[in-house]
Amino acid sequence: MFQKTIVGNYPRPSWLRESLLKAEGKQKKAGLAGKEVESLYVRGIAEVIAEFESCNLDLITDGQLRLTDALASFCENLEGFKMTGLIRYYDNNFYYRQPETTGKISWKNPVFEADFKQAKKLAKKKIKCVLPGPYTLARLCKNTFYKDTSDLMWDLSSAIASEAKALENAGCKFIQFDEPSLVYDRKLECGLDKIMDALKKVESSVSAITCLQAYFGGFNGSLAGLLDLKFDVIGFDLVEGKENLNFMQEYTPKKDLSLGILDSRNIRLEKPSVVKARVMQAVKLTSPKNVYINPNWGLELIPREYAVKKLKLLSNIVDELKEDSA
Amino acid sequence: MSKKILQTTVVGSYPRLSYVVEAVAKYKKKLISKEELKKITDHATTEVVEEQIKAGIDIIADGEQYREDMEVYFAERISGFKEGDWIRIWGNNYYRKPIVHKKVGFIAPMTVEDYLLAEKVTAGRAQVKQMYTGPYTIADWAFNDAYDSKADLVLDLARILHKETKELEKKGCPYIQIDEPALSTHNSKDELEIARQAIEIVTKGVKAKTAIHICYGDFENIFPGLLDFKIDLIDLEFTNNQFKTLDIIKKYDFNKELGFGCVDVHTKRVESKEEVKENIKKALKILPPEKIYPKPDCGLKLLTREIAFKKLCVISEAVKELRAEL
Repeated sequence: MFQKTIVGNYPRPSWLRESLLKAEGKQKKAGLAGKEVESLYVRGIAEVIAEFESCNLDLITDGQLRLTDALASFCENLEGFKMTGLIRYYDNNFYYRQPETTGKISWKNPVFEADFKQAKKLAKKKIKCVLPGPYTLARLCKNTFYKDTSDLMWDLSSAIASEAKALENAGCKFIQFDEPSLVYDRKLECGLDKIMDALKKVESSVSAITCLQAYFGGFNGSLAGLLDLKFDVIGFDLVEGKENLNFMQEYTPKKDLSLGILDSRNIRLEKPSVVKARVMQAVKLTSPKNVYINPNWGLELIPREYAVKKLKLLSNIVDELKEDSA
Repeated sequence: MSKKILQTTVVGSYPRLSYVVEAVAKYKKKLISKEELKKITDHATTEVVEEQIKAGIDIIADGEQYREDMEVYFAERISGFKEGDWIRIWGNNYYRKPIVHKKVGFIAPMTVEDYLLAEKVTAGRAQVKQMYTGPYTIADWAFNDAYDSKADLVLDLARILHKETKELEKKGCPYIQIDEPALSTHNSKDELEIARQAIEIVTKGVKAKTAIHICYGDFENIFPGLLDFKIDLIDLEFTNNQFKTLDIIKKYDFNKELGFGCVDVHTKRVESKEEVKENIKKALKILPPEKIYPKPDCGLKLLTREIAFKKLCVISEAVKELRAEL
């Protein structure tokens, strides 16, 4: 029942950080092509994938080492956007270039297909792909073209659906759609019916396992409608979404769960007994078939030595959970 | 000035002068000593103080030439912190996020010497304020590997910064600003309450004017709760968010003085005098002029020296005309 996974990003190895700095400097000076940079990324991704596998994770990513702008990187490759000034990514000391609409949004070519294929070649374990969800992406962008956020979200959902389809065609069997804004925003900027339409379009575009991943907050009753969507897995942040267990009690999701159980933004290691109790509470409340266990977000905002410690802790906790329920 | 109305001020940082940037690079390579670096930054402080006075600003600051950033600078001067590993901010830019590894404690004043230098250079031609990063933000931007709760860490830091505040007051500093940019990035009332308690500790028994500066984030998160803080002045950004901040504060009985961001620090374009006048008039619709302190949205660090100077000049020119008109 329990599977060990990660949400997405991971710290870049220190040698990669330094080599990229040097390579960028060289590129500026001599206009060198990206070949050298490309080989650096491949080496970095191989190293990170090996680290995931040595921590016995079941479902992994490529650590999203190539991304410069977290979820917003996707927009760079769509028609209808330009990238503008840096803006804070939620409550992190972490920034992204804000994409601004310049016209109607449309999907041109696969964005992450090559990355997926490469990761698949390097990995023994299953690779999942991570895409931004339509509501979150609409919220992260600056809209100067569409009538409102809902209209922007609708076109974004078509682009995300096309990308998901391309990833599935390339062989991806698990696609995660990240929707932190759904649980982070105090008040949604679009009606839930509109959000559900957009999510439905995204979800129904593929037959792969789909996961709606929400982090940096918890679900409240006003979001209960989302449980009617056909996502196979719903992600709950049990670190920063304290209300999630109450939500599960009240609305009993009939879904597989993805549970964020370790704090991805602090280095302190959690007590296994506390974490296990929380997981078992969620399991008892919802009786899921599969439970994916992960930190509550990617681990790139903690130093790598601690990221490994957290993954090992996660792996031990899941092993204990498996033993307890055997 | 017959009546103190629309006193102009700054938020704190001024672009680092080129020779400071060079000196810091040399210091990092161990080519110059700490004492040599200090001499150079002191000289730069003298220059930027003169420049602010020349621009006609009523309440100036030391310009933070000596501060590498607003987190590490303080973490290096408070006991209980250790240097952390590199954490990505954006693209290939990183910072060393400090780690709280034991109980934090006051070592020695952190900003007093620089206040005294700025005061000496100013020699009565303007008022000098001093600013430091607040307890909530210092805690929020560090890893906590020592305290069971964030609140305990924040309140201990508040006790340290209370000592700092008293030291500044003892030396005659009339205006002390606490920078809390992390506050508006969190949308939880519990977090705001931690900060409220912390500020109460920091400003307890302080007679000098105390201000809190907050930028970025969502100001809906901090109102109306911020009005209960024991502080004299609230300093916010307005221009960059197209005065959305005004719509928020208009809803409440604004019982403090207001630091009013009337030029945008995220654009290189220097606003016209007329624009700045119009901006300030927006604030005059809700508060009397003696309660409004026109200033840039935030620190000027990211602009060029020339543009920073021009932005300050246009504020003081606009205010000069407004004073005559009022």
